[in-house]
Amino acid sequence: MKPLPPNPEADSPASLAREGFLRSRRIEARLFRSHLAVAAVGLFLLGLSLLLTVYLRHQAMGLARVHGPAAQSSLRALEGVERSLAALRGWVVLDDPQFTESRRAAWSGAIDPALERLQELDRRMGRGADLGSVREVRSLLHELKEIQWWVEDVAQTPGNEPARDMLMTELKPVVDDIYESITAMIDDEVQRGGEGRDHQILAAMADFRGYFTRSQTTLSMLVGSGSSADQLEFEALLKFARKRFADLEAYSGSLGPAQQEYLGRIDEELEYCIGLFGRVLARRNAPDWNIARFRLREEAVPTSQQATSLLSTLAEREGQRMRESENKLDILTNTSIGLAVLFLLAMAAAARFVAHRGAVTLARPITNLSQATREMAAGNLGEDIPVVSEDELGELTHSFNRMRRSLRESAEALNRREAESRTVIESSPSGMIMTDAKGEIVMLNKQAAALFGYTREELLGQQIEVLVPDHVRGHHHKLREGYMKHPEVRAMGASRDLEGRRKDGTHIPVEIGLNPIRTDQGLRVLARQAMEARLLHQSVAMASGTEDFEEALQQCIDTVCKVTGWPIGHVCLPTRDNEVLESSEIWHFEPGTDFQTFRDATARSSFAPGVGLPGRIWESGEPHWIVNVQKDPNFPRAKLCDDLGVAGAFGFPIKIAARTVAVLEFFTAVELEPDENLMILARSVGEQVGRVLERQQAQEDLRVAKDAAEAASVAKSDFLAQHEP
Amino acid sequence: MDEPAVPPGILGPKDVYEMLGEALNRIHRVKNALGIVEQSKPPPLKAAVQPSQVFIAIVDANREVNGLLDQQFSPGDVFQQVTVAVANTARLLDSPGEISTPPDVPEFERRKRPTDVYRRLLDCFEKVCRVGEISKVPMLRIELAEEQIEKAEPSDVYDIASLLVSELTYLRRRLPVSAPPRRTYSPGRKLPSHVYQRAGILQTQLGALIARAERNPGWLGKQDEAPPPKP
Repeated sequence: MKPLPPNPEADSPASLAREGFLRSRRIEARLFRSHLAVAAVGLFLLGLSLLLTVYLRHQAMGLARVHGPAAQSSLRALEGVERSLAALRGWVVLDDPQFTESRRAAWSGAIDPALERLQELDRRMGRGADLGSVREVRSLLHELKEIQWWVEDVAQTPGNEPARDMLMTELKPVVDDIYESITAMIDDEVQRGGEGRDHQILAAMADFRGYFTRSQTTLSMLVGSGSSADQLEFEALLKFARKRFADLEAYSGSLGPAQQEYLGRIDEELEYCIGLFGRVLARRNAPDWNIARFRLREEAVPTSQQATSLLSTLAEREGQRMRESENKLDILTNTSIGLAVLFLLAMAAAARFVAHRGAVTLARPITNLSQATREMAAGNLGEDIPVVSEDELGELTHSFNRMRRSLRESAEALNRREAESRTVIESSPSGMIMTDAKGEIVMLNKQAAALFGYTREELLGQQIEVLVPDHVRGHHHKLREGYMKHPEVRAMGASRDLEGRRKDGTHIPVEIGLNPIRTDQGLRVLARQAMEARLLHQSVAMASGTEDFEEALQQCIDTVCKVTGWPIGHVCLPTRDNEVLESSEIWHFEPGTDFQTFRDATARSSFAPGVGLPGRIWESGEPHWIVNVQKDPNFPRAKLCDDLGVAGAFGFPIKIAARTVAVLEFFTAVELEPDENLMILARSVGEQVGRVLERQQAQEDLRVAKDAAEAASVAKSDFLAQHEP
Repeated sequence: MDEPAVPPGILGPKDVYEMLGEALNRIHRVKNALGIVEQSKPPPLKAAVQPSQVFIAIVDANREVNGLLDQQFSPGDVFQQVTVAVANTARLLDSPGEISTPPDVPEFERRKRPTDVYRRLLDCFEKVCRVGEISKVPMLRIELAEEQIEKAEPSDVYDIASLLVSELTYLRRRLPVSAPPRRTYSPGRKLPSHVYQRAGILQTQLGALIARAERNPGWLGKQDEAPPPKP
């Protein structure tokens, strides 16, 4: 993410207040989006799983709700059709009412519910079920039901066998009448037999009645059986009957009136009967001689066969689909499980990626802030943290940067003040030592270290009594504790000469000012050794106390070394021709020090104006400071040997009438930064000493002139005395 | 002897009158064949007669004629007529591509009289009229006094059954497409209770037919066309 450009206006309280409300919700929105993104991944994959589940459900439902039930219903309807047909056959053949009940039960208990179920499946699944044959099945089953109803209705009625019906309703009355007529004729003939009647007439009558009666019996059997043998027998009997009736007609003249009336009536009715016989036989020989069986055979059975064929096809097809669906479901289930596992892994990976991305995006500014906080705690107030968002985190980063800048400015100001204080302390010509309440040295400047011949590190942490002369050290801590009870700004040892103990054991005069300072760590005491006035006073006093120029210079460097603590002092003087400076024999060395190498190198050197430390002071007429002569490029003496044994150096001129008459240089073994106060003090010392020396030289010159004038006066007097008369 | 031709259009009293004249001629021929010379005097013609009055007169005449028969109308004859009506109604209830089946036979109720059958068939007739009313087809209406119903004989029942068959056949012929009704056969000997039971089937069918007509009053097709001749 690229950091946003700095927006100074965004840091203003007014701007923040203006956008505060909007911003207050941005991180919430980002968190919401981040969580929503994770949830969206899950929801997306869950949606896919759901789609797959829906598809599986569709397949399973198709299996459970369509194909299986359709096959089951088809088989149920098929079984019902066969049962109803069997029951109908039973009813037609056996005339047992139980079969009608069984047939109706087959319809109400099996076929109709199965058909209704198939129609419901067809309606529910629409074209998806592909049960297009249900309508055809329904039509066929309705037709079958209607056929069965009418077959059942007609089966056990007289009208079911039209030939028999005709026999009973139309033929039987006529036949009965013929029988009664021929019987009446026979009865008459029997009564008339005693009168010598021809027995042939009675035989013809009896034969006719017998054959006719037998023919009717055979006809009845024929109507029932339809047997061709019965028909042949019937035709033969009828033929005999008619022949015997023809024989009887041949005896008509021998018959009585009543018999003749009967004979005519029989003749008419016999002809009618013969016509009816033909009709009965034709009806019996017709295919539909039994209406119920005919309808059963011609309509019910074919329709049943069509329906059962369709139902079988439907059941088989749905069974096949069920098996296919089972296989498909099995494959899909396995695939679904695999995909679910895959989705689970993908969801976990995606969720981790999205969550990580969101977390990184959200946490990066916080991490940066945390890191920056740690760095700040460690004192590193470096660069601003990049602002990568405009939300609350961005605002927090802005605020943190503002706080960091403010802290840095404060730290820099503090550092500056501390540096200034350190500079003041360090540049002070006076030695300064700070102790805590227990007398432990907690701070000192270089002048103090140099004054007492220690390094700063050697004195830090030591008791102040290490700098006290041995004879005072024993009770000094009581003095110090007494002061700590009533701390105040005052001089120490103002009424007497105080001395300090240097590292080498020598004593040096000191003037100490005590200043109590209250700090966070407790009470501190700052001891300051005031040397400016002392140095000036002693230098001028020492210079004024002698009339010899070189002795005065010796006193001067001794005093400076003693007051400042610098261990080496040396004087360079110009040659007579004033071309170069040369080393004089005027030296100051701290007792116990050995700077012979440096002294030898100095003795062999001369310094033209601008060359080396003396040359630069001679040329400029001003004090000069060298931090480390070993590293200074304009210090020829350093090239004369590997190690001079000195490091820090400073010097100042002694001028008389604006002419440099000597250059005083001082050296120390440690490297020291320039001390401006000391330089100023050195210039003052050089000027004061120069004026003293100039005054002494003027007095010397006056004395010499006076002596010369006196000598001249003496010579004049002598001359005048010699030449006076 | 040939049956007289069915007159075209809607039957009116004139058609009935002509039919009765033809029947009277047949009676005269029978009388001549039997050598009966006695002649009956026809009653005076009434100026205005409603069709229902004609129907009632015919019923009365039919009842008298039936009394003369050796083999009178039996419940079996009525049963067969009702069965014909059931077969016709089944065709009226057919749906496109689907044949309807008569409903299951109702419970058999014992000791029913012809009057009971008559009442049930009259109810069926009312239902047929209701179908015609819904379908905007003019149908014959019968209004009988209670005493006439109480006096109903098998011949009267047969007449009302025949009328039902006639009206249902008329309706069936108005269908755009219609399969022929099932042929019926002699049911044999039946009791009035059997006829009553069968008339129950017809009642149920006609109830369904009324519901169909109410769902679709135009189920018979356009009614502005000339109606087919009544049988």
